Amino acid sequence: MTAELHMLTGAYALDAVSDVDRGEFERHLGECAACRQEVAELRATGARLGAAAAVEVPPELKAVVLAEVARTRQLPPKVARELGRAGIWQLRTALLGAAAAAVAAVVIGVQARPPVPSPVDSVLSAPDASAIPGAGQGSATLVLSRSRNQAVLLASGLPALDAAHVYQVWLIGRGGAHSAGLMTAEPSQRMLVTELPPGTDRIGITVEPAGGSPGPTTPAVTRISLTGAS
Amino acid sequence: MGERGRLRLRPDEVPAPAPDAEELLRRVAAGDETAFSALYDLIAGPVLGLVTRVLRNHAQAEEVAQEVLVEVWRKATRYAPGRGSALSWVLTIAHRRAVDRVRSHQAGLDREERAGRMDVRRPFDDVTESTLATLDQQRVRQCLAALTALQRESIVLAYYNGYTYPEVAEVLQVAPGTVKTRIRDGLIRLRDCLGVDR
Repeated sequence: MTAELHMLTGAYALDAVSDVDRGEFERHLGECAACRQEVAELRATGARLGAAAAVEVPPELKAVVLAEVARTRQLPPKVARELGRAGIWQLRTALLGAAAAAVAAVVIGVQARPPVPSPVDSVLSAPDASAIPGAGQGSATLVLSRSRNQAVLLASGLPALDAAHVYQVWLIGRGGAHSAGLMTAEPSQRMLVTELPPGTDRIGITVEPAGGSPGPTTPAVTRISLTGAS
Repeated sequence: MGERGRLRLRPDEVPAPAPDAEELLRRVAAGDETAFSALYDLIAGPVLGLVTRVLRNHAQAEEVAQEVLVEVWRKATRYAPGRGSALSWVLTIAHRRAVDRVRSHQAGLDREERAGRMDVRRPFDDVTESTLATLDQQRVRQCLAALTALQRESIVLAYYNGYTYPEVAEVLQVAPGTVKTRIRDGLIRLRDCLGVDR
């Protein structure tokens, strides 16, 4: 990313850019996870300024809005955000390449049978495979198949850790957070295949002491929300 | 559904706390109009307040606020809880709509004229002197006050007045690049001061 473009996160978050600047910056955002994170935080900061401007609302406005809502159709949810089937195939190629290059995959609940790529392939080739981008540090993508109850998590660009720490992946739902394993592969690209227990609605990656923890002990550096991605 | 089930199991306990905006928005995404009505009560004040601040015209502001609130209903399925609070999502929509309205209605010379007439101190004073000084508003006021004057004025003009950063630069008589960095630096300080998660 160019430093010049990165400086635009604040003005962009406050809608203080021209349409031309916005278009250019949004193309940049597509490939800069750190910028997306910063924009999200600065937008949330702007929203606090907005909330501080709250006023009393004339009571009749509610009736008008509710009447309008009653005759307004809702948009359908986006199932696979940002990545269509073509994107999944690209990701698949990248993942299989990574697996072939002996990037360690932690396989949970599935017997890892040679060749190594098979659980990954099983998810990625599922007819209902969909991809969800994560939010936070680095760039994380979860490809999941509800029919196979499995998901592949691919994270790249997470900061390197010292020998005393590891990245640990958590499946989070009503019942709390359950470890899906440690990401111990190459710092540049980490991959993990996991079963998705019913009720899992978020996945988080935290930094934990080497060997992992029974439960998350630090805030998630990256989160992926599964809600809405049926 | 699950919430109701749990309530039935514990009839003697105090009633469950009212659902928060995130939970309501989740129900709205499933087409629940009752949940929308409850969500409306949480968000209408901030939405109308923000668009009024940007547009400075009550009739227009009510019209835009109405559009924003219906848009929240329409787009509820697109809200991703992992990406921020429901109110933050709603106010992002509201701000963009208000700014679009300002920019489509007032092009060219008209805007320059408006910028020239602006008293740059006023928007901040509106915040500082608000009679509705809730704890949250006090916090925002304190955190704004902790910024440098240029950071504060840049942010206030950009956010509350809906100016682009080159327009802010024009009003403040500094280079656009300076405003761009001051907005970012100031927002980062505000974020840390307000303890904004995301």
